[in-house]
Amino acid sequence: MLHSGVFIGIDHGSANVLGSMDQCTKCGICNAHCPVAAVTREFPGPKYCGPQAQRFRLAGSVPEWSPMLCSGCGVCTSVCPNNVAISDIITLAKADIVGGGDRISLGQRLLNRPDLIGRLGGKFPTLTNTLLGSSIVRRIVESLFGIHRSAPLPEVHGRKFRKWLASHDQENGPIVSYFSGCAIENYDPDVGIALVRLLNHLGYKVQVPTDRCCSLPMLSSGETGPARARVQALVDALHPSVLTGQKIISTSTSCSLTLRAKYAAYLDMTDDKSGEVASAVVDACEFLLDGHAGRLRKCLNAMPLRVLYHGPCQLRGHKMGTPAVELMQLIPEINLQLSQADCCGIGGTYGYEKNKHDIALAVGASLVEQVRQFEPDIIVCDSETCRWNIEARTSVECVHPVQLLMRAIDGRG
Amino acid sequence: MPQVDHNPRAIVIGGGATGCAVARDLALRGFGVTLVEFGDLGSGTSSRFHGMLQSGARYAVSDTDYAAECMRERLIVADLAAGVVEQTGGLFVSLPDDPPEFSDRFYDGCLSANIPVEELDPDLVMAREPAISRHVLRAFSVPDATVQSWRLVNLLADDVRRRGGEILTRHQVIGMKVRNGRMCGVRVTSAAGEVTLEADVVLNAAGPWSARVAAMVGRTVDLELSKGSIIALSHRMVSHAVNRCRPPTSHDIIVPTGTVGLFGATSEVVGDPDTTNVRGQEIQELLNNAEVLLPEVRNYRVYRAWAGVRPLFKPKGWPSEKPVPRRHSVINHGDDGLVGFFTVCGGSLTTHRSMAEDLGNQVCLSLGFDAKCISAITPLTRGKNGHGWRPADNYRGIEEDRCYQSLVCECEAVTQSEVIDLIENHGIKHIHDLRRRLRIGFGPCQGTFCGSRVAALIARYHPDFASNDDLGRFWVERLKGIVHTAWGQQARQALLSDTVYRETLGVRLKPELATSADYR
Repeated sequence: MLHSGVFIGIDHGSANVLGSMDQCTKCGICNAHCPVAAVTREFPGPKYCGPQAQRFRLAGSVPEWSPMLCSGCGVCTSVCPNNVAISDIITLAKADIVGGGDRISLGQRLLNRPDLIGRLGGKFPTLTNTLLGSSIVRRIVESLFGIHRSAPLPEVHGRKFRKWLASHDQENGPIVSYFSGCAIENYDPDVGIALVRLLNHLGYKVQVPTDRCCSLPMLSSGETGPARARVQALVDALHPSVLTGQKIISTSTSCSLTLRAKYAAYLDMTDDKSGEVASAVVDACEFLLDGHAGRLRKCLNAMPLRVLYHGPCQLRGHKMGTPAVELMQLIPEINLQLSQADCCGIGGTYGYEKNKHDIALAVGASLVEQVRQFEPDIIVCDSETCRWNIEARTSVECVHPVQLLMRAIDGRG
Repeated sequence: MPQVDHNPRAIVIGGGATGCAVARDLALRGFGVTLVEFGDLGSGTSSRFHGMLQSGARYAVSDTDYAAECMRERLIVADLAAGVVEQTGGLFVSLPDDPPEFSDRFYDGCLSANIPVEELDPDLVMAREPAISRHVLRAFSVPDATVQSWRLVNLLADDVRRRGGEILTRHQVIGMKVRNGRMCGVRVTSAAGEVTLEADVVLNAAGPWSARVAAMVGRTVDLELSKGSIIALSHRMVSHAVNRCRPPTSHDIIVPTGTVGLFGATSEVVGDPDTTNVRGQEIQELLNNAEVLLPEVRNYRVYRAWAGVRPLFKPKGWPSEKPVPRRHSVINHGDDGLVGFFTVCGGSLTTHRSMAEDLGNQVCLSLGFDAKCISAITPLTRGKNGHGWRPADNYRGIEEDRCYQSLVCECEAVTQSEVIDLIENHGIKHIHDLRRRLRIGFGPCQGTFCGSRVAALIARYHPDFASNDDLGRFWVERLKGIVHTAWGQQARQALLSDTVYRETLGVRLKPELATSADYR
């Protein structure tokens, strides 16, 4: 059974998230694991910003800064021995600080709308990519919007995935839904293409009910006001597939965690419909591993490559282990090493901001060092902004696990 | 009537809110004052309560005069000591269990006592206070407030010192000096040895211990000692002090104090003023009753429980079935042959100033010393009084200064500079005494992580500081309050905390620490 109830907040609203502060025993394990607190004294750590400060927030509103330095990676919540929803408490505090989006910077506002930017830029992809590839333009963008000049902006691809899917013939078979999300639609179509081909290979027919954004950037930076309508529209778009008993497969651990747990936690969407959608969401690797490993093993060709796997922070929030690792271990002759870093540093849109860029670099330093020593041929990671960041920092190609699997099937090792 | 031609000297016994107020009242009238306290300031009943600065509404029906006095004094205290008072406001809610006819009497009583009262829409109140019962039938708002009693007591003491008075803490009275039917001094003992202090008058403001003090010279004080137990719940689940609207009794009020919610209190006649233990059964009784007002109470963590002993004055021949009056009394023991000895008892923290005024007036009258009470109109603090105290002020300061690395007590957001100031400028050298002044160790972890940090700071300024003993005493005292609330998550906390003290810090919890009376 694909576990839904284990998530803090999946069927409980923000009151449960905030109430979990009472479980804190102050042990400090979260602080010891926080990748941001480890690199800057500006950030007092998750224990302080989360359960500790929450007790004061109930006693009166005061101007706060420290929660804004949280990257939202969620490591704190996953290591807490007392089930305190630390990272969610901090995220709700951020929403209060920015007034649900009323006091949010223009740059963050832009970053929070990857779907809109992708759609606009996608109208003239060559021009957009040329412009954003120019260091002069990036300097202007930095000074206007506070988006750091060397932050890893992806290339826009128009609507390549959708176009590809429209012309792609699929044989009949059991139907599954794929939540591609805005990243696949606009920036990373190859992941979507790989997943559809992989699922076809296993006999499934893939539907893509919507290309809407999950709105995680908005939620994690506190822009909850505008997020609400977008999220409701997404739930409405996904729900018909759920009603027919389909799973909703996602190739992004961050989008899928958002769908599974965060609408309830941040927006109090605890209604049945949202809950049914949340329960139907499944990570692509989790889906592939669950009942398909035997078939996959038979069609994977040898791949004698040095592969470094970096599990994104949100993966821990799924509490499903590391299905991508188990899948990749099915590939003959693979030389797989696991990343020792807690976080690559980018934290979704966190590292894009000018004032957080240095922190993001410092957080990701250990991963960069590991890459330098291991010298992988390819890096694998399940989340898009992490991939763009890792590729920009290491100059090593970084792909989604399903891409690697598809290459092994194609014998393109 | 005797006339004094010099400024008289007074000794005040007891360093709670009343004793400190008496010392201040007399110092302002020109007396030479020495206050003697056998523990730390405010370590008895003055701090062992729920922190209410009452509007008096609680007594509006049962004792309208006393209610009116509370209201007058509540305004004066909130004005003089704004920096230690939080204007939470109070609510009285009538639930289905409460006598319905009481509400109208309550409203009329408040009006008679000049307490600003307003009836509110119950739905509005339930929306504003999501943690309370969904069955509110009627609701009233009154100007209740809360006060940081330790800080208040220390403000009073600081003012006494500024005016030339002397405050002797950890000094115990062991005898009285009487000459020709006149009280002329007391004998005290302390770590520095025994000494006799001379005075024209001796004023007994020892709260629940005042009968013992009077007994030293064969006088009686008719006290009824009433123990009140209180539990500290994990966070501020209410924003107002919420009372049941019914005749004042036990288990009927939840008060947001600092970062916690305090529910109380029990009421039990005891014989010994040192009865501050809380039985497990009392806590269950508190929780059972709290459930009516706070349906979710069993889902909150209970940090600790404590008890204080109310020194109620029960006049001779008072009918046993009638509740003992709350109003204070001043006893002039000159009336029974010991001139220059007075006892003040009863009352409450809210009325500490008027108790002192009343006593001061009688002392001046007996001495023929003409000096008016000016304690209500003389500023208590130097400089501007500022806005009222808000519990989040500490957190605000830390966020403003970004001084995260200097946090000593994380739960209560206490910084190094506050601790050092008290050690350096106020001669404080025990973890306990810092705890009382700064709320150190009041939060979820009950002193697990701040104790050693505080000890290190004290040791920096006092090289002879016996850190192991002081830490042991601190932890034993914290444990005393946790032990009966250690179920669920607080049990987990207690185990972690105990491990930190014993294993990580290597603190030896000597048997004598565990069995000794309260460390005051």
